[in-house]
Amino acid sequence: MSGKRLPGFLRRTRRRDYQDSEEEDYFTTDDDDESQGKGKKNNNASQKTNGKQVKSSDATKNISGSKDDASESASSGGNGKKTTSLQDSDDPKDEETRDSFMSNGTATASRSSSSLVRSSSSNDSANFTAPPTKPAKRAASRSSTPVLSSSSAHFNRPLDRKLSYRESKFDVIIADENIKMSELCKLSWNGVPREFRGMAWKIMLGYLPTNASRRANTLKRKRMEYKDAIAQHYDIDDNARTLQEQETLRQVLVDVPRTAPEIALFRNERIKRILGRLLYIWAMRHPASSYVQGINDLATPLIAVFLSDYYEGDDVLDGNVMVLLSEESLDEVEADVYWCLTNILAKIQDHYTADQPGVQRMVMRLEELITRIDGNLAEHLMDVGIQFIQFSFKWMNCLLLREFNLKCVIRLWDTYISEDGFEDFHVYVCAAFLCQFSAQLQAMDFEKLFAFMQDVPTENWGETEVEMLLSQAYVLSTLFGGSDAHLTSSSAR
Amino acid sequence: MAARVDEEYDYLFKIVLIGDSGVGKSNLLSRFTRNEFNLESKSTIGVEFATKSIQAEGKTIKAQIWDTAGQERYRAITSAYYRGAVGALLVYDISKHGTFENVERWLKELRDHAEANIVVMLVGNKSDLRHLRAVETDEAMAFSEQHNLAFIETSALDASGVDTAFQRILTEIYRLMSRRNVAAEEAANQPSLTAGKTISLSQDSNQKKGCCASV
Repeated sequence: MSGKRLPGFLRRTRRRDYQDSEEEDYFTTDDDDESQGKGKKNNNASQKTNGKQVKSSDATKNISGSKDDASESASSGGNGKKTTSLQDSDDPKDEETRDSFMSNGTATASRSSSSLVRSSSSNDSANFTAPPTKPAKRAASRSSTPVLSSSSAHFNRPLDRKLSYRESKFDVIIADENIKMSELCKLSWNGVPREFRGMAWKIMLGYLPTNASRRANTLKRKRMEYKDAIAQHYDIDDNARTLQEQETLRQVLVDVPRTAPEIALFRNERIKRILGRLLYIWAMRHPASSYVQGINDLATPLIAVFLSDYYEGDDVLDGNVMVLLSEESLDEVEADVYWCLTNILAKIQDHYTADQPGVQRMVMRLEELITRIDGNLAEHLMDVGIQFIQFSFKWMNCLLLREFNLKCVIRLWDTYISEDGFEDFHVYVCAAFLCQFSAQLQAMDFEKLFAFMQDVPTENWGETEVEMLLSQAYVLSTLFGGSDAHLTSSSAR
Repeated sequence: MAARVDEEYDYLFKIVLIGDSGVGKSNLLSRFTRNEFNLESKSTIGVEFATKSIQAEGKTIKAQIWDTAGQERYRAITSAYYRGAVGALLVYDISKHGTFENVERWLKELRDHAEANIVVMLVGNKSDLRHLRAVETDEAMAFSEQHNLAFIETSALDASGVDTAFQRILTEIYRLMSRRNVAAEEAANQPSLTAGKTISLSQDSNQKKGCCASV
């Protein structure tokens, strides 16, 4: 716990300093500045609280997800005293209590403690230096992502290192006043570094405009719009809902606790609350499909990625991000996830309408493809009597989210989101995935095969394996894509 | 049981698990076939499947149990899974009355898609949630008698009733089948009934009550 390195709060302040000044570049009106500044400054408050938390015995384990962070915070412990102890709890139960407490509107101490620090940090901000003209050049030794233009609070990891080649490429592309979408997509296909992911996804999904000067207003408007939707659809009396709506709500609430339950983050009560709310509102706004099981899974990568922008630790999945995350920040994440999920689902609209034609179509394409690229496997599957729909329905319905851990999925989505229509490519990914196990599968009978498919062994998979898979899928798509002649060719092998 | 050689069996019966989402179908399956229970299991997408062999009246019966997604939207796709099923466990949650109210809809689903003589057992799951009980045993029993269904309450969590439920429905299917076969003077031992083949059962649905009416 000794502060051999630069005390964390100093480094953070320095970066915040930079980020605040960045923010001024983009948020020109007072109004914007006010509303957009909140989340970030609350986080600032949170950090200071963090210092105090470290005093609790197991804080090193529970806070920030990294020892370094905790020890750094320890050296800033003095600042923690500024805030009340309300946010100190790192016990999830306490946190839940606080949630319900706050949602009842009976206690806003947490908010007020945040605003206490907010005002003090505003004073700090008076000392900020003038905004840099070219962030990347100004701060070579730390992250210089001008992501603040997209959302109000971006705590990128302290990077006391040079940007990698990839990172610096993203750095340049994203800093552009008018981001070139094709370049961003091209670069993102091979994976987006963590610091840039939230921003890159939001732009590629068409949620944020490529033009930097329009982003602040777009965000503000979209988040307001979502707030209105909550009032219209969610915060109403149950008696005001039709039977159909009540059933949808029931189904959503049955599935929320069953969404990624193996990940601590998704066991958090506040995350469950936003997930349930945004799924229900999406269902209300998209009556042709309404809520279908599996859509809940699709929200999880977005939640994890967008939350990362409000967190300094390495990994939001351990849930520690929630200990200090302000309600305002969470509201922002919720709105952003809602809109980005909406945009993703818009690309695969008929996957969730009656009879799910989109899913059935993809299953058929997969079968065709396997017949062409691995005839022996296709034959074996037919011999044992297993149908493609029996095992690959889930792959299509949940976009392989049930097959991989979330980190792998996020990497997979870097590519999917950068693809114009990922539906086609997804079939190639599934084909490459299936063929990986071809030899094993061909030695199995119906039951073993079915059991294997229900739980494909990918628990040790990481980004490397996903990237291998993606490149195999890419090769397949160049060999077999867009050419119907191949479809009829039996010599594909 | 796990050590048994799976291939050795006298009969293979396909059973489907149906009922609203969240009533515990997947956990009933995992409790019966692997003696596992997971409080945090994910929703079932599409269909899942597991097998287990049991002994009934001196015969080895292998149950091939299909677990389907409960949500309405999936019905179109899951309807194919009723094909060849000789038994169905229609599951509701004793702590959620709505899941019991939907039992009628599920019966209609069976009438539309399954074999006419499929053996149906009504299963009130989550019997461990005594303090949250919303469906009285009497109510469910009356309903099951009215519709000629077998009935049992189970808890996948504490395992009570689970083995009994499967044992009863499989025995019942076996009895109906052998009775029919005897009547038809056919050889009863057809060891290789493969998945998907229809096994005709007695049309005499009154017999169903005899086996499993008690809780």
